[in-house]
Amino acid sequence: MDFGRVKTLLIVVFLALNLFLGYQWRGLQQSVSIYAEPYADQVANLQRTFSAHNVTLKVSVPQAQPSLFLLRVQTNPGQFLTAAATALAIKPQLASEYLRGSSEVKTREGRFGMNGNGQYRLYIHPRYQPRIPNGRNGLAFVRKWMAKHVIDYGSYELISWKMSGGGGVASFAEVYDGYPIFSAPLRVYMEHGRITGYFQTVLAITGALDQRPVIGAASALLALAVFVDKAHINMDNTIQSVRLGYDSRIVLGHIWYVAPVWQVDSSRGVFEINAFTAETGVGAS
Amino acid sequence: MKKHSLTPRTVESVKTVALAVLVLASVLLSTLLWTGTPGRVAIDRPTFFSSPLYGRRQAAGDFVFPRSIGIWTSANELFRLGGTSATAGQIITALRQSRFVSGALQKGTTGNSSAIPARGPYLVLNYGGLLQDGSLWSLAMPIQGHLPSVPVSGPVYVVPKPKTATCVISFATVGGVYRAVLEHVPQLLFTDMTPNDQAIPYEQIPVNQTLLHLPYAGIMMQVDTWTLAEPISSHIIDSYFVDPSLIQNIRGPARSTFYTDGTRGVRVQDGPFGNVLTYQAPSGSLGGFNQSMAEALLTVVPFIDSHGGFVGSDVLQKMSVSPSSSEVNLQFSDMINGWPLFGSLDRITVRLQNGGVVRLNRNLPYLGMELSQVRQRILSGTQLVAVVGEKTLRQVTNITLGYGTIASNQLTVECVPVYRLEFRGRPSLYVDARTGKPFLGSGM
Repeated sequence: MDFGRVKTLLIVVFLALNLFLGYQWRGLQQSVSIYAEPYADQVANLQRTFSAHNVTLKVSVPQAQPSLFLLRVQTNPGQFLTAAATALAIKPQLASEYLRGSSEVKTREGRFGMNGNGQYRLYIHPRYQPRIPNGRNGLAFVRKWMAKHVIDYGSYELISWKMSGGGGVASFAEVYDGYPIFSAPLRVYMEHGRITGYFQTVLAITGALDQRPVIGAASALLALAVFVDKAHINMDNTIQSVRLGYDSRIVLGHIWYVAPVWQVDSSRGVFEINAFTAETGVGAS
Repeated sequence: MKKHSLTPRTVESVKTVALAVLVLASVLLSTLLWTGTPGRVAIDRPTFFSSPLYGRRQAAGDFVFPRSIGIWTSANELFRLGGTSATAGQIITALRQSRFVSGALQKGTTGNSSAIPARGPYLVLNYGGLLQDGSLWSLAMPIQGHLPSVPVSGPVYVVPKPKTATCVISFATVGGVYRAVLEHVPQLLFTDMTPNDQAIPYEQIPVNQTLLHLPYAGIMMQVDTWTLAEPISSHIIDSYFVDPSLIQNIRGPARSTFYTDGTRGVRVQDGPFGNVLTYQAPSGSLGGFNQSMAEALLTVVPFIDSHGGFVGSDVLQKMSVSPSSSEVNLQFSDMINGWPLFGSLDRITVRLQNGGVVRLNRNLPYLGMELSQVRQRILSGTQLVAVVGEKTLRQVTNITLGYGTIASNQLTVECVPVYRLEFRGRPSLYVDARTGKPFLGSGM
């Protein structure tokens, strides 16, 4: 047998086969690929859709589409005395001595309480309210003060800093894997240049389920546009921020679930779009 | 210069390598084609996202009709027609087929009494306060030419003019009494003015400076025993979520289970008739948002249709708007033999906010099949007043005849005639219409 000739024949056959398969694969790629609207076009479409309902989009639309979880969370009332000792700057072993009832610790400097949902509230006595320096150092001072007086402060990130008249609120949220949990806020209250106290929700994550990619911010805003259209909401409104995080408005005792949401802050209120299902609703204001 | 030439052995080696590369390339391309081709996707959930319709599909206009129609004859006798009776249906259909000619608001004549026609015959359409929001006129009487959408306080009166095939409707508004003429009124309306066997003789009894309408004589009413039908709850629960694969459940106290996807929640707990379902969606007021009752009803009816549906002869019992919280509250309840069914069985309460449903509560079991019926005589209005006593009557604002429920087990329920006594600022009292004794039923 002439193996040389057989080899040549096989080379010709496989070359023809590969050309045929390559042609088929290229055709398949073209038929299954979808038209991806350029980001700039998506934003332009959004602006046009929103303007029909008197909504102005004044933010840059994020492009990230990470994979997030459905989180099972619970409040952690077990650390109440530790949290109280941190807040009132007393030794942990002394906290129980200042305990009034089962959910309030009171000292000369202030009182620290816990409500039925396991959330903490600190009131500082006016004489001991720390003064915030004027200028740019205000936030840095508040952060430094919180690092000393707030339990788990390291796991919170700044969401907003709002000052009006003589008062203001610095809002933080607990962070999980880089994303804020809006259901776990930390609000520091300020009045006449002094810190008057704070409100804190500490959540423990007890499960991370169903990891999957979230919808993009542009899709979430499109869902919001549909919501606004269906509900005939045509009042003047301005979108001020779009942020990805976790939240749930359905709270059940000490255990519940928080879903990934795109939180859209507008001048009319806060909207939340479920980042898995694109369901839209009005969130916490 | 040395001449270079390929030896046959070298050529064979090159051919071997080329053949191997080509074979590998064909395997690679075949794999890419195999994995890149979309295949058939089988979803292992036949009831994904949908709920069977347990009742019948209804239009929003079906819910805006009178609770009852009073017929005042020329002999000054009063008869009551149940809102769901055939004759009442004919009257409403006839009115809807008429044509609006003209109408005028007579200012300075405020109050319901000045809207009442001077003498019979005339009809009294009792919408139970639904027309307090003018937007529901378009659903209550979609008359050609349209009546102005004015809020109504009290009932709507209809005075027939058979000779000219017209009728005059009048009702009280905040601004005065409104009178309008309808023409091309079908003849059926005038024949239905004569009380038939569906009309029950009623009398007016003065109580606390108001005239209560109650049965004139001891009429016979049915005492029915029904089976309780219960839908498959998992289908209905799934229907409240966009993606049921995300549903997580949490066991709660008192045999309750909470289902949630982190955004919405459905609680199923034990009630007097079986499972009670409460749906919750995120709520929050959007400043400046307002919704009319008609818009709210047009949103709610398809929502209920896609989550199990209306399971009885439902009527819109109550509706209220709260502009400050952008809320609209609605309550639907069932009618049996033309009488209202009191209590929580077959009752659906819904809250809308910013144009969407944010809360819904209903019993999952509903009246299924009628097992038996017994006709029993009930107390007349006069007898009831005598039994209740002067002290209780002094605080009464209204008395309505209807049905109460007794669940002997979670399989059957007995519907018995009861009088509901309403008071200002305190819960209603139910009295067994057969005996006059306080009625302690189930889910009342």
